[in-house]
Amino acid sequence: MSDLLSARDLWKKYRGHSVLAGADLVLAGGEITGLIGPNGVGKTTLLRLLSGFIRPDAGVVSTESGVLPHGTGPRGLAQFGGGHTIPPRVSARSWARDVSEGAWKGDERRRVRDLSRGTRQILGLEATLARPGTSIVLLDEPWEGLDPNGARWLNAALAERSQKGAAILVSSHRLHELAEVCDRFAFLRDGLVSVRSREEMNTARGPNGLLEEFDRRSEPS
Amino acid sequence: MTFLRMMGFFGRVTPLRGWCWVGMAATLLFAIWLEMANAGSSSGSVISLLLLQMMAVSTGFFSHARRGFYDPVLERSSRRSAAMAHFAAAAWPGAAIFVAIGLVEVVSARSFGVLVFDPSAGVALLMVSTIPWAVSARLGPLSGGVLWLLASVSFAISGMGLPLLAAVRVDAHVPVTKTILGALAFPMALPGSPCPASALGALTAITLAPLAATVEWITRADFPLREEEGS
Repeated sequence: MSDLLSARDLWKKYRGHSVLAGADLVLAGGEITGLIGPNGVGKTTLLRLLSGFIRPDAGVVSTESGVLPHGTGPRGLAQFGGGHTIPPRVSARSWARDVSEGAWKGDERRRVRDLSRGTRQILGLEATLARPGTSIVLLDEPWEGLDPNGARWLNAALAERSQKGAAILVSSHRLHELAEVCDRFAFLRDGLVSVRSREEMNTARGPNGLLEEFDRRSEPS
Repeated sequence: MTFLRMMGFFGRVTPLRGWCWVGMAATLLFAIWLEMANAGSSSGSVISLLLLQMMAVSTGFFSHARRGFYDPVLERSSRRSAAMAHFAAAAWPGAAIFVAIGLVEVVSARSFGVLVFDPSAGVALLMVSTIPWAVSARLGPLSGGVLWLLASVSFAISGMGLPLLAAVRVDAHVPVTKTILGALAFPMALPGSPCPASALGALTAITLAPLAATVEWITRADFPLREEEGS
């Protein structure tokens, strides 16, 4: 599958603190990549940068059709930053229909603030993944607040999207889920990304390989 | 995403506050009542509407964008279109009521030569729509309207208030700069004033400049989530 989204040598500082320091990442169609790293390491920043919400201090984000200008997300992008990014006062149905461009067929009429955390998360994920014409999916902590049934649904939905050729990047601390669905694992540490394939991580041992790698990379350098 | 869909999205995500809707509806009813009682006397309702519009457009783009509320539009549309759609979504209810009051005046007076359709009233509506929107885009919801209102009150209770008000309302022969300052200090005094065309032209330019600057700023700004920067 071809590379649908590439980030090259991304640098980003907040108030003098380097969050990204030359990060590279390539997302290929038909692959699910798990983004892993300790809290505060810059996973959300990287996702928002790839979505065009943030300008890198240096580096470029590009698609098959060229380098993306600042403030522009890649064509075919669907991203979801978590239930807290859904406005609380809006009706769940109208928000989901807006986000999915009418493709979401649910009938949840309550306001978002009246939904449980898990229901809000499911609503956001369903609407995001239902959007037609999506080729790049970026999800931040998608399993947050989901019960086992919700997690199973999400894993199946991601696999289905991937089989249809979408490039998917999922940031999460849920190593069990990542080990189940991801083809590749991108570890973010000290502003840099290093990518390991599923085979390299030996995920046959379940999430233990990921946990060991996570522990190793979380130790102070 | 089309411009109208973006407007609809912004309207649903940051809807007009309930008290603004109530105030605007009451203002329209007030205008109808005034016109029925005495044709040509609805200027009070225009002033109320301008005041409400100041608050209604102060929606606070940045604070909502930093909570991720605008992500679905920002990821799919040009930033410039999104900013314009956000402004239009914030301004249209007040503008619609403004036109409705004008139509009430037209029906009552049987003439299009009414206050609302006077160029000075149009410039006043533009001023109270764009400047508070632009200010609140950076500073947060309601900030634009509240700060302008505070500035007007400060001018009114200071020694500068009356001369500036007179420059807008009474004397058509004062220097244009004084008329412009007066209109900026007291935009509610502008409708029906004897302002020269040059002052109205300058006020329009002054009014459009913050709109253009804010659209440009939104085009270039970063929208990290609040927690990303630890704030």
